[in-house]
Amino acid sequence: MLKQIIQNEWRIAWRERQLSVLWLLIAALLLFATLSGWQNFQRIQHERQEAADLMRKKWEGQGAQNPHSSAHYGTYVFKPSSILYFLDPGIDKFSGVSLRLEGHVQHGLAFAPAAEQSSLSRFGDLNTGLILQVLVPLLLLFLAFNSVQRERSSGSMRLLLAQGISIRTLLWGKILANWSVSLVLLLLVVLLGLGLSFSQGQLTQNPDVWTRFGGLLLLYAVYYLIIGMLGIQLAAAVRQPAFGLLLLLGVWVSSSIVLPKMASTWAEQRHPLLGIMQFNQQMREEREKGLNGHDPEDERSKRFEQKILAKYQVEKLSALPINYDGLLMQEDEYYGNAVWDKHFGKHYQNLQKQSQQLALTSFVNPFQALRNLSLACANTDLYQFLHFQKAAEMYRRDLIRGLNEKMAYGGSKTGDWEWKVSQKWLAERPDFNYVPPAMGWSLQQRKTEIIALASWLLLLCATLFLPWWKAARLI
Amino acid sequence: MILAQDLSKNYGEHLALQKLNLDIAPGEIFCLLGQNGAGKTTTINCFLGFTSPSSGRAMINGIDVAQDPQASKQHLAYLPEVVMLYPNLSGLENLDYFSRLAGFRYSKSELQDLLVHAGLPQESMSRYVDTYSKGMRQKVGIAIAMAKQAKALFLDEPTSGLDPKASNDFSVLLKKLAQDGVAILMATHDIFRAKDVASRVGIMREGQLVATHAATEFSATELEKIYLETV
Repeated sequence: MLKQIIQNEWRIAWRERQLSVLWLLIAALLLFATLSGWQNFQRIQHERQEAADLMRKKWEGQGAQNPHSSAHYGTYVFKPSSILYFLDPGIDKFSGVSLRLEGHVQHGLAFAPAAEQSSLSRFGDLNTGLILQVLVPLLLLFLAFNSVQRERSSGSMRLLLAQGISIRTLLWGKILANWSVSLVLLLLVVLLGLGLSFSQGQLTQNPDVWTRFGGLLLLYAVYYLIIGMLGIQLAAAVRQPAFGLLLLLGVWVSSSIVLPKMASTWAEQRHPLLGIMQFNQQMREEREKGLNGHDPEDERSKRFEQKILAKYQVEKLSALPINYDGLLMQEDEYYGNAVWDKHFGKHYQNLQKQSQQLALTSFVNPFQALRNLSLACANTDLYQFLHFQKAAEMYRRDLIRGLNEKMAYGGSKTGDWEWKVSQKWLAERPDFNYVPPAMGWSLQQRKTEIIALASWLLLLCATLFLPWWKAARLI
Repeated sequence: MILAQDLSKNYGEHLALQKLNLDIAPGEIFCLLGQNGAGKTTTINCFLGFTSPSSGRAMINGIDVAQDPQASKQHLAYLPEVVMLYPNLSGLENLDYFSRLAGFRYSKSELQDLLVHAGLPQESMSRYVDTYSKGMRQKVGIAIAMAKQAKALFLDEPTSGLDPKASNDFSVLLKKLAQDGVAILMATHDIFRAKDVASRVGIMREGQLVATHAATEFSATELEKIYLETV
């Protein structure tokens, strides 16, 4: 019986021109967005790889150098783009993609494309994720409204019920029929995405990509079921067609535009972030005055000098068998790292609190859960960005420590700034090799969203079984 | 087959149906006459399970409709006053869909036979229903009711809006169904049609069945006179 209803829904919806045209339009948009997203992804990947190669080549070809000059010469690293970037590009545009690494100082990420565009760009480009998150649910709500309104206006409900079907079966049939219509669109995207990734050999290189595609498929399928159930139940509950349509459109606008905006403003106000200038200034001050504010840099240096002199049992720095400058700089580096850890830690915590707060709003607005989880599956979210930033900082520390230690123990004496290490030694410093986090890690940050989506699914299943649903609601 | 025992329905103070007793045997056609609001449609709604009675029982083939609405529907077919179908399905597709929902699968030629039997011209079967006249939709409705092979048939003003020829064809069809053992309850305004097909005629007023007569007792004109005196 369910099968008959589903088939009939498909047939009728297909014959209702406005619905089939809307479906085709969205399918065409999805194809276009996915293909152009893929081109974009390839260009970006190529550009960043090229830039990274160039930087490495420059590093390797810098010639014989004083290690400290080399630390100042520094290098750049580039955030590699996740392969699912082409489905949901995430925050790259706002967060920046390249990071300058050098001694003494931690830089922030630079070259955020959004910085060079007008504020209009905040509304987002047409990308596959946006269509899947915003337009497909709109189609689902239209389908829901039409399939319920059709029974009311054709007066077929009495005849249907007399044929012996229950209103619950009818509603389920409609939900499943509409859901399957949206699933076709989803499968279209996933299969195209898999094909494109496969053509580039990404699937065989990186099994995590499979998991991520699977995660996206499951996530959107669940969300569409939620929207399908919500749409049908709302449309069936409201008897006035004009009010029903208004209600569904209201749900759509508020869930995909108004509520997320309100939620993020709220999260920003509750857990404000420091501006980059303030952040850097605080770090500079603490580095100079000490983490507790009472341990200025020159006193720390004096103590360190005494410690080293005592260790080597000499009176003067010039009598040391090693290069004291290298040791002092590394000591300062350690101190700077601790300062960064503290401030970045605070920053991270604030971001995490904001993120948690946003996650909680998923219980009110499932769209929020969808958006966060979609970014997490695509590996283009904030957590992945911070993961990269940390990894780059760890690489910077290793690189600079290597240079400072070479300076200290490599055979030069204190004050000998002309001493050089070979190009070969510098070229042997390991390259930055960033391994993005796996799917499991991404999802661990999003437990709240997962629970929220599951709750929505259960709630809407439960409401469908309420005795409140009587045949009379559709007559 | 169709049985009402003290069937009552009130909406607040308003008594839509008062202690209706009715027993329609297989092969019998019972016509309910009465003005609008006399309780004819409420009676049918109670049998279809669309309205739950305030007291009393509506039974079909021994099954209490209020207690087991799904089971009772296996034995009944229904033809509403205005048969509204899916406008962008053809007559054939509508019949096919409604039959499948009732658990019947017919081949295309069987479906066509049903429609021909109900009087729908062959050439219009594959057209979308939104091009149909009211009478044509009514015929698809009759085919849907017949396709269900039900033992109890409920008709709510089935001939209103039909031309005399179609109306007459309809009467012939009903009589044939009754001969096959179907119990038929028909609400109507059409006294002449009622006299023509009915075994018994009941007259309703303000929710009460005030008179029941065998149709053979009177001529149509006498029946009209009785009707006018009763309501």
